[in-house]
Amino acid sequence: MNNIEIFLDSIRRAIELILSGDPYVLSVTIVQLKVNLTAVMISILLAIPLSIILSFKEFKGKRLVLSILSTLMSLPPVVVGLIVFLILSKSGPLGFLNLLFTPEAMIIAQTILATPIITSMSVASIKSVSDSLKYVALTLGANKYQMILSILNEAKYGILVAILAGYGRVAAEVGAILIVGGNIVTYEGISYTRTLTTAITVEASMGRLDAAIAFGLILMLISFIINLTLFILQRRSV
Amino acid sequence: MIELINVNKYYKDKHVLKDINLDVKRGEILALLGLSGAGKTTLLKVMNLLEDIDSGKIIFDGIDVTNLNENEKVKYRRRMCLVFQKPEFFRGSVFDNIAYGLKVRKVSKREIELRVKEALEIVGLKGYEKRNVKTLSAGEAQRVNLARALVIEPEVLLLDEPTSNLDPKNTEIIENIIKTAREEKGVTIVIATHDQGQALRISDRIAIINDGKLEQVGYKEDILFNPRTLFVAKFLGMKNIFKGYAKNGKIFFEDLEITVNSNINGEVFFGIRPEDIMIVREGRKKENMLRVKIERINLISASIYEIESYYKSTKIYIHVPRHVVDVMKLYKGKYINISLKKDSIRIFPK
Repeated sequence: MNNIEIFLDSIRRAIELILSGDPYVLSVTIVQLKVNLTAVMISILLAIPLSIILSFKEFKGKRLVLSILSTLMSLPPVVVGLIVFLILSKSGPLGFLNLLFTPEAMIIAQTILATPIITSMSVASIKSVSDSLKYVALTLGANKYQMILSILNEAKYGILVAILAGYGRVAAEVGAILIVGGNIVTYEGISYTRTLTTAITVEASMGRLDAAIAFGLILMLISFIINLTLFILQRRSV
Repeated sequence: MIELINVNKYYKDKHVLKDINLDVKRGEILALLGLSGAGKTTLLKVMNLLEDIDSGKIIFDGIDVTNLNENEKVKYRRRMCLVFQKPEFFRGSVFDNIAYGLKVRKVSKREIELRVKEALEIVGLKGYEKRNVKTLSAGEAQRVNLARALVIEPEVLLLDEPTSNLDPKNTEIIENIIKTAREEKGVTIVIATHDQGQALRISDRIAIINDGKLEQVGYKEDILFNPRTLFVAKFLGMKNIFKGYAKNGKIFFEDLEITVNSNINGEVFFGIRPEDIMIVREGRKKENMLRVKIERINLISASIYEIESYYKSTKIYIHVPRHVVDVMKLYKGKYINISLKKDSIRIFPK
């Protein structure tokens, strides 16, 4: 077999691997989705109230908070991974929780990655709703709570875009979860803390191209779905 | 209905409302007349309790509403409505936007449907419920903007330049809606405008605002014919303003002695409206007569000519009905006698 044949054969076997419902592939995919989705969910719970406060409340140091958030947006995942690792490691301040090398540790790291991006983008999209619309809501008789809901409703597509961007960041990320999750597979060959991204690094380095490609395909499918949704939302929000 | 007492408002260092005293009476249409940036919008927002003031008092229907907390403010704010200059809508249909004020007041669904329908009929947009607000023309948008305020049936309607972006036809439609709202529902209306014609057309009283200060408040005849400040005089079309020296009932100006009804002494400005100047036939005599040379004759409306004339180096505007130009055979370069009637002269101490 020449190189191209080897490559094509790998793709064929990768597709077979996905379609056969291989328990290893399935478990890796599930861990990936579970960690990403949970992290994004927690991020939403943190980011939305935070962005409401940042958008509707005036307080000292608000600018500082906003600039810290936008700095955190570009934080390298590996560094976040390292920090979480240090905090959760046996000698770290939260070492007693025994969370290192668990899916929970990965969720913590990814939450730290997703929250700033969702918050900043949500604040930006709330800000893009015309300021005078706030006054319109109030003069038409809305109380503060009703006014905030109306403005959020105007910004909802932008906020959804923010959430998807947050999801996009954690779905594609390797550095942080590799460090705090440990890329662990059980003796039965089922993933404990191995995700699609970390799996690809392992499989590729071990020369198991079919598995690496299979994971790559699934990952691409996920990001394709995210991007398609983003595209549709952005068109609708105009 | 709304009374402002010594209201002051700053935006950072800028003093935007200066010692405003204004009493808006129940059921009247008050025009707030001033140039852009004079403080009209801020004043309306203050009345609507959308902006806090730095000092002074706001009395709404006899109750001091100056320092209320947010929840109490909502209670009073719901008895009025401010229509902003630029229509800004919530995403969605015309119905959603007009229903907004009723929804936040927890009005029942059935009543909302009826009242929205009625409001659309009032503004002449029957059947527009399902239209997306983004597809409305400027005139339609302003009418929907007005409809969503009218549907609330506010006691006080505050309008911020509701026709500034509209053509004359849409302006007329909006003005009629405003007048009808007062006549049929007894709504108290404050309308901010920079257009003195509009102020005269639809209001009972006019408040002139300039640089954050109320220059004069009064019935429109009073404002028009007895301007108290130079600004009010100029703003309402007193195009002839001169500087002179007053002494014992006379003003000395150029080489003239003009008799006036005033005992002010010293340097003064004095003015006369162009339409109050009389052209005097040759050979006759009238008070305060002077001979001027016609420089230009210009038709400024269907029935009025504006004559630009000179007495030495002083330019004097005269407005005459169209037929006068023909009857008196007025033309450029001709010398004519004019009379500045002393009852028409207004004096502004320096």
